[in-house]
Amino acid sequence: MRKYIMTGLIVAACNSIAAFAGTVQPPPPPPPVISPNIGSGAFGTDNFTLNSNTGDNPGATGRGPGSLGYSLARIFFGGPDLHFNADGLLVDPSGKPFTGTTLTGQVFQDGKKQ
Amino acid sequence: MHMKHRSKLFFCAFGLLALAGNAHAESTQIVANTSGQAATSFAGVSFGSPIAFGADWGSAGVGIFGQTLNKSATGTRGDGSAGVAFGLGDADRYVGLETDVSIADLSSYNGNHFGDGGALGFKLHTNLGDGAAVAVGVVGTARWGSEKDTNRASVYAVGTKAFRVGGVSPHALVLNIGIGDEGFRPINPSTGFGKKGPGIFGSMAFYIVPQVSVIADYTGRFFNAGLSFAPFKTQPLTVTLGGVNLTNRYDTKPQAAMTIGYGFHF
Repeated sequence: MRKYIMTGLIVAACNSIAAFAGTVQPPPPPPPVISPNIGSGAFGTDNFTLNSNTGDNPGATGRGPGSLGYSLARIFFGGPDLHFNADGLLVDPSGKPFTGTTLTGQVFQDGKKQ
Repeated sequence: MHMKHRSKLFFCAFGLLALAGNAHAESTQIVANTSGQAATSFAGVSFGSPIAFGADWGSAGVGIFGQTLNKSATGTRGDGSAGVAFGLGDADRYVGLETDVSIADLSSYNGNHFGDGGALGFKLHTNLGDGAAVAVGVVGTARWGSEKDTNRASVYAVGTKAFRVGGVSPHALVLNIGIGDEGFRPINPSTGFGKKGPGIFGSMAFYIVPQVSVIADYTGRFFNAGLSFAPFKTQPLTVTLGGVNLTNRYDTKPQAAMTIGYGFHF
């Protein structure tokens, strides 16, 4: 930024000299202020970091049944949907008590949580 | 005008969150794990754009980002930053609030040193079920040090959904689209900051297997692409390598970039 301020001062000084000499030139368009920011502002480095490290890392987006990690696990590893029946047992779609592990890591034996 | 646009964005998004929160507050999903594999290790979803899923209570993440730079234009061959995030609330039942702290200047080319500048980010998010989520957030706010004048806060609203692709050996596709201002807009050459008004951003990640994904990402300013992988099956470590600014915008060349992130639960 300091470089551009200095450039601006030099341009302004040159214009003043030119005006004094009676040969005023139109001022050049301002340089694009990209370089000073390109590591952070333009590329959004700081924002990029967080988006890339937390938001887009499924491991950091919660672990509940609505989380991204769970959703991906359901796609890749998921089996049948389970539900609790009137007796409080976890059963599969056919009504059979579930034995095994759910995607949330809970272990059930004959529909009862272990 | 600028504030009006931001206020509208937030009011719309909060309304959406309230509706979503009520709609799925009582829903639960219990699914059998047919493989027995720990579902803790997945490749990344985006390469620059924020997504709608986020950390809630019990989840946190840390990581670093680095990229090459054109030395003649910027004075350094590369720079990066580091960040930490943690969550509050419950995004499955109501909303989660992800709070991020980012620290700029991994290199000291400008006389800055690590920690001399940084910013906060907040994301209010809710899970809709069936692999979908919506969120509103702000990045680059409460800036300090070297970041105070070189960055501006950007607000956004975003929606993300994961789809199953294929049958017996499934793949996954995660689509992400959002609207935001400032950093999600092209650069105004006269100021170096984003043009006024809202801009569209989005990303698409195709999971070949759970631990490898291919990502295309448009941040509203740059087009990026990368290959993400999770090297360990039981560790939530994500590494993404790729290129940023692949379309040579602003007469600057594409640069290589890498992120390493680790998410954990407590």
